[in-house]
Amino acid sequence: MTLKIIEINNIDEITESKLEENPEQILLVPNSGWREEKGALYPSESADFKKHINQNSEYKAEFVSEPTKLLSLNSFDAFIPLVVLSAQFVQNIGIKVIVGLIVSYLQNKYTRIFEDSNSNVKFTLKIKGKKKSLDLEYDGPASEINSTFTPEKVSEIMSKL
Amino acid sequence: MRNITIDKKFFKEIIEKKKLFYKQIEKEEFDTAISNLNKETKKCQAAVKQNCDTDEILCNQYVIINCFWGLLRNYCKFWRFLGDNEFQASWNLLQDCFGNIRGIDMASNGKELFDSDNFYKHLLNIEKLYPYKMFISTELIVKKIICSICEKSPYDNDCNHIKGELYAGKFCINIVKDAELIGSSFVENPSNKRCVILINYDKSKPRYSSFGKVWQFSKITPLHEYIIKPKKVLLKQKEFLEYAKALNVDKEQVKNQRFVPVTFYEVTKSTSII
Ligand SMILES: [Zn+2]
Repeated sequence: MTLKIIEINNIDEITESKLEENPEQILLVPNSGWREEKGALYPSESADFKKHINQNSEYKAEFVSEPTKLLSLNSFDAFIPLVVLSAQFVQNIGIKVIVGLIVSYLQNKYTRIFEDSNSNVKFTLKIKGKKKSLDLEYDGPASEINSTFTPEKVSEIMSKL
Repeated sequence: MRNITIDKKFFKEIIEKKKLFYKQIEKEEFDTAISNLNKETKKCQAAVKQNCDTDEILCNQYVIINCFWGLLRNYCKFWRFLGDNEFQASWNLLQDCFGNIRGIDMASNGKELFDSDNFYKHLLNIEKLYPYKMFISTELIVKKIICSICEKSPYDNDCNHIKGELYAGKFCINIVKDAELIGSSFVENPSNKRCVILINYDKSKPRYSSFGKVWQFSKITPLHEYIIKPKKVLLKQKEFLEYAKALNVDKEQVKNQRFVPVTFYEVTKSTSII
């Protein structure tokens, strides 16, 4: 399994202004295109992921834009949209809470696949800091998501914000 | 709705009936079992209809019990296809069985009552005998989709239904109304394993096909695990040529040999899963 922590300089303006409006929200951002298809594409089950957060936590998930086009794949390469959070929010509630929501979503929806150590899932969390932002890219078995975010990894992430 | 608990009042009847069905399946009385399972399904469907407006909790329990009868029925159909050397069709039934287990898994006490862990492991082991290792992932751009419960877009703020969950006895599904195919790719871990590349084989000579292991498995007793071991055998020149043709093996080198050594896998019966 891999968890890549990538420092990035900026994020797109719309996402940034939405996050400034309300730094306490979990922003769900589409892929920017797929193959030749250009424009915003949300993974087809994005609505379920949003409902999962809103129905099972005290936090609020919102789409950054109207999901008019959905991307449907027969794989777990893009099962949830890009999750964008403010550093302030992550500092308040802790990154593990957000990771926990992704894990419980997979556990509820794909119980047996979740338990299968051979099944790979991919997702990205983006954290917008004051100066820098971070991309946390996970690629590995669903069952190892929680254990990948060790206290050391979490402090490494927090120190970079 | 999740975390459904099957009421204790159902236990005695389910346990008695499942024992009867397991016996029929072991004896390969598939037609009898299917016909009895159809009757159980009709009873569940009638109970769902009767209670859907008044008692959602009871109604959802009937749906889950029916998923178990569905699992046994699909397992019987799977074996019937195996018996006819219809391996491609049997694969689809195997996937239907996994679908039934997904329903059963919604019950918090389903594992004990419906032996779902045992069935799940058993089905996963059977899957390993098939030659399907890569799957097709179709890539679609979906432009219009509706929720089967409220018929609104699942992205509409008024729709609170989650795909795959139960609402008053009905599973929520998303119905694609407008979509465009933009590509396809091969994946190892698909969300739907029915999308396979079809493999041609001679149904009259299954032993020497890519489905050879599945064919051998079809000779053991249903509801049993299997043991698979490599076994060296000597094939006569004629048999070897058939084998080589089916599996695309080089036949030039052994042209003049009367017997050709080949490694086969032998599949034999192991312990009962229930
Ligand atoms: Zn709905």
